[in-house]
Amino acid sequence: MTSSPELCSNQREEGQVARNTPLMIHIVPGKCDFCGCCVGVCPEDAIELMEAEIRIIDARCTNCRKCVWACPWEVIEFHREGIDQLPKVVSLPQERTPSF
Amino acid sequence: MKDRYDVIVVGAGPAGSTAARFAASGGASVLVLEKDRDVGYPVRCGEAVSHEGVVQFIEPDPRWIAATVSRFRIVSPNGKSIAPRLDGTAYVLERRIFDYELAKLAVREGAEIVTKAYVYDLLRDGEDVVGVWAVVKDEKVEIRSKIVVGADGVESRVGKWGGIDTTTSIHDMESCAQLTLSGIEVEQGILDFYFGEHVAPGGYVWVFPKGKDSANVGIGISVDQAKEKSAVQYLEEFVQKKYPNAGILTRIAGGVPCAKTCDKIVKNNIVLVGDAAHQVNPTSGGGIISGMIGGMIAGQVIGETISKSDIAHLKEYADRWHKRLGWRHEVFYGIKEAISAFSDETLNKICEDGLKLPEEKRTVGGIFRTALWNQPSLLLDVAKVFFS
Repeated sequence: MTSSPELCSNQREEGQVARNTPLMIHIVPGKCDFCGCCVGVCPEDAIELMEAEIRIIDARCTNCRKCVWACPWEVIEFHREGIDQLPKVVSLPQERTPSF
Repeated sequence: MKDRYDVIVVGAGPAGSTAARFAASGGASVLVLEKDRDVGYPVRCGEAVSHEGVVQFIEPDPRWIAATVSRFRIVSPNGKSIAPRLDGTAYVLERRIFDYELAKLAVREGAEIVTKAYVYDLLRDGEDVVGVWAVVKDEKVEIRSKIVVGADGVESRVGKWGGIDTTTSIHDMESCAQLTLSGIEVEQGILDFYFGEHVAPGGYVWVFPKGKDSANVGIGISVDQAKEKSAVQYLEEFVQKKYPNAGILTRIAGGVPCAKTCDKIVKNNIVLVGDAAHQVNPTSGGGIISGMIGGMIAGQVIGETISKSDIAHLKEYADRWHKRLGWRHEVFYGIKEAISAFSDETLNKICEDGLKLPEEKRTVGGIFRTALWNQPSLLLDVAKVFFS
């Protein structure tokens, strides 16, 4: 996909993004704390959060980037070129919680 | 676990457990489903509560009190600070134990709790919601109930599935990060709040003591101020400057909906409590006690609803919540808007004016009155918010 002129270069910067573009939201593996801040601001119910797994629901995401700004840990990134080759699902391989 | 209950509560945080406790004591059969493996973990919280808030629900117990405080201090952007008197005491909790105890209270009333149980949709019969779909022990199961309570936190989806919009605007959502630091010098008995556009735009940094040489050091910034720079960057700058050699015991993230209560917190047989309902004090971002009050009222109304077999009675919850705390949160929301519009100069001036007051008059109200007296233009800022 080619980048359109209205998209800005800074990953965090605000700008117009058309609906129906390929998914441009990318979750960096290994960094997510599964806190749910992104889910709380998502107007499209496009993020699914489980105990140790988070996924963007491609069909619902409009690339609005609210989740990118909301993420306290900078786990969610915006990529202008679309992310077909990047993971959309991030999970932890094992149980994450200690027993006590 | 059975396949049918009067009520299913999604989420075993303070609001969910309290809703379950009061619904069960009111005679309802209750199942609580918690997505994580442990109740109370991972913690996503600064962990401060007032004594008078917490004693409404549970007797204070040293096992879940990490520190007792009797003062709070506001540090203005230029570094000057003022410590207004606090009426009564407050606690810094050990949430992983506190949440456990709240869940036990629910179980004592007869509620069942299952952890590692992920609710992924509502169960429907035509248009009607008749329970939930969940993954329990890696198996998809349907569990039926007359009422579903969404206590599923800031990331709530129960409301959205049930037709209630629980999305928080980026203006009202606080993007939060917190480190529990150890090996640092912390003044005991005091909660610290740091303000300033370069410290925490649209929010504040908190330092809450957690025992002798430890503290929760966290930040919340408004998401619409986070487009250039994230919460973690602000927090790391603060910690680097103030506690460069600290040991980091925990590192957590979170979101706090500093908004008014959702327009709807009941729809048909769906009820929302706690962060899911935006039952958070919008000025402070504190949500433990207000979520528990929401949970208690919801639980009581659910008990009455089940014994009357009249689902329409659930609406009573929204009315009682609004009378008890909802209206106050609307006022606090106005105050939050006023404070977040203050420039660094204004904040510095308020602090300096407050410091001129004699010690005994340094209450929150006293400081606010002095600020208005010395800077009548502030009144305009505040008025704009309240009457816009």
